Amino acid sequence: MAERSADAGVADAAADVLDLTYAALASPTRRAILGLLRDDQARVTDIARAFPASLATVSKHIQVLERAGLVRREVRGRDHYLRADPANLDAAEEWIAEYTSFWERSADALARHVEGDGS
Amino acid sequence: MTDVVRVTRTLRAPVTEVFDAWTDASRLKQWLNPGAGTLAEAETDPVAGGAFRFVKLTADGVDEVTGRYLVVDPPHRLVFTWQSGVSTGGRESQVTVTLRGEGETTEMTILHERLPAAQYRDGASRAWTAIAARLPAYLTGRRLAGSDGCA
Repeated sequence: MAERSADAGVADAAADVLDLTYAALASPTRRAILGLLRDDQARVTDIARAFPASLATVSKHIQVLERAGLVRREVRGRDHYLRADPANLDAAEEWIAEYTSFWERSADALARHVEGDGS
Repeated sequence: MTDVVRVTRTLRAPVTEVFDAWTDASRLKQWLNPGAGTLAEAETDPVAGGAFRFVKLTADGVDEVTGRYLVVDPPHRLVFTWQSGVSTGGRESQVTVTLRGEGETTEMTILHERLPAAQYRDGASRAWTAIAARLPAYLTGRRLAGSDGCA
């Protein structure tokens, strides 16, 4: 019984994180911020300068990304440096690549199947 | 960040033949998921609202895919949900197959969308990592409360 409720708690926690991640990626501004952080780290103020929105607004977007674990912050002196979490972004691309390959292979096999020698 | 997979092919077969290959379970087993393994099992009920179930053999083991047909419009269009504990993190994604027949050839487009599953999966694995990290402390606390000193 105790085990079952612990499992349910774990599943709920996982679902919560999933929702956070999905919500974080739903905003074009946040996707653009992730794009800026893709190749290099940047200071919060640098990011804010790249957008027409106020520093406060951009900061809020950054916090949403941080809560979803897509961006990490490192404080050095007075500067806050941000970087995208490469593990997450790489895994996302890997997933797309995996399914692209799955459908490509299947489409080729379907072609052989329906074009096949009278089978 | 793209979350759509699109694959197109021109097949040298009439559109009715291609549609049949997409909906007939025994035919699906002959071509879906080639190479890496095959479909070990396939069951389809190709009517709107009908269910399907595939068992894919993969390098990592077995991936069961389940879904529902949303649109079955022979021989032109097939829309179905696609859900797998392994590859979509238990969330529903959606596949649309569009077939356009031109005589003896068929223009086929496969669109797999609503795949934030990539992010979902990351989110899920991060959650599990965090939970796994907390678990030893939790268990240790419980064990200290009991008498099991197993390291």
